Amino acid sequence: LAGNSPNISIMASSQKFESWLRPEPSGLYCEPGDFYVDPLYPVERAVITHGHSDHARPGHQAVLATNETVGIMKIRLGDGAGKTTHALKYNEAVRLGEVDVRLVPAGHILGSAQVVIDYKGQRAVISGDYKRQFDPTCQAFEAVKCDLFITEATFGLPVFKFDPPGNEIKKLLASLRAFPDQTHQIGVYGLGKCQRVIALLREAGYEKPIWLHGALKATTDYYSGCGARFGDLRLVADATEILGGEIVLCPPSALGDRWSRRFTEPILALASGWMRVRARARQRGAELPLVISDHADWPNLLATVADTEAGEVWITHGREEALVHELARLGLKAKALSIIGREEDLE
Amino acid sequence: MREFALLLDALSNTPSRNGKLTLLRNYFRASPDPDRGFALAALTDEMPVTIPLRRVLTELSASRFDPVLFKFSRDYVGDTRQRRFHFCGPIRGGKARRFPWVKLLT
Repeated sequence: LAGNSPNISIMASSQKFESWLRPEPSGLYCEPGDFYVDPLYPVERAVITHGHSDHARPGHQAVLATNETVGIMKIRLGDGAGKTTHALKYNEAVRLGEVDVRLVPAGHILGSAQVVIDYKGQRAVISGDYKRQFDPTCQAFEAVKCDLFITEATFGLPVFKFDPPGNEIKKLLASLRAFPDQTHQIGVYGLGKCQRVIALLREAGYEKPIWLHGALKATTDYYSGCGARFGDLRLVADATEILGGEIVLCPPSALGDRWSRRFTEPILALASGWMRVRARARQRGAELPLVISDHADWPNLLATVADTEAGEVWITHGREEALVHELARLGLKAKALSIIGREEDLE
Repeated sequence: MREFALLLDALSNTPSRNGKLTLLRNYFRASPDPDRGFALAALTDEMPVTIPLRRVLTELSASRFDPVLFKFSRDYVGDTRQRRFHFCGPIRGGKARRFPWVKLLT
């Protein structure tokens, strides 16, 4: 009788997921493969989705990640990047314990990956952070059909709908024309956003030198080493003039601090998905909020769940409750894992 | 209208008086009639509109959109007018379009 009830059969299959994949205090743990995905604390075996510091933590014994993510971790964490590191190409399969694992492009930053795990005929995909918008600095997101999709929801509210980033770059260039003597100082996160904004500016035809805060150099050089073409980049420290009318990129923390006093009446811009909310822009003192995000917006979160055709969705971090509500409304089983330690301000 | 919306956003984000003047000058120079006429009237309180916009927008939105998502959004953003402008959630009472493969599971 129970076998005839669709609800009970769905529940039985979800229990199976939890028997081999579950959230633990350190992070998401795959038991038959004996590894964690993006663990918060040092563990024996970690699979890392991408190089941002809230996902790639130091001190693991063994790290499995894409070539680029391993490279980024070595730059940022040095010896903390893992006692042994195993670099994979995208879609290269590897057997870990009783499961098959491969890494698939997530479109978030250079080297970012989704983790595809196959175990006894079931497939789980862990998205890490991802976006669907075009980004010339990394490989585009690939949707993988699966039974269980474990997604982020950083921007999981219907108020988050991002225009094409080219529109935001146009806003910046219009401001440069309106205020041609003022330095345009743009706060960008150093890994991913910085390089994407440079690439978008070049795509929009901006050919003048782009000036960088020293803290952005190492990761930008790494992107260049991987084949990115950024045109004329210079360090602010090497400037002999006051950079009126120039574009300067710096970490968000440097906006408005002592370091910025060298510029003439700088116009402060901030490139982030949070700039969609006016109060956030005000709080950060951004005169020119640029809504450029490396995460999926609300329509893209839903479209991505649709693309995976998963029957069950778990949500790791972000604005989970709205997405759980909407997915349930659409007929899917969804739950929030509320994994701690993911930092929203990095974006 | 879109240009005027962008102008309002820019004015509200720009702290310096000279900056605001530059933005206004550029807008009025570049925008066609009658747009800039309406803009001038709106900016100088000369619009013959007496409806309470904030309340009307909230009520209209609350009746149209999924109430749970609307509440989450309002709580998060805290500014009804802005949220109304950006809200891209489902329409209330609209049929929840189930994902096609859900049928296969149930």
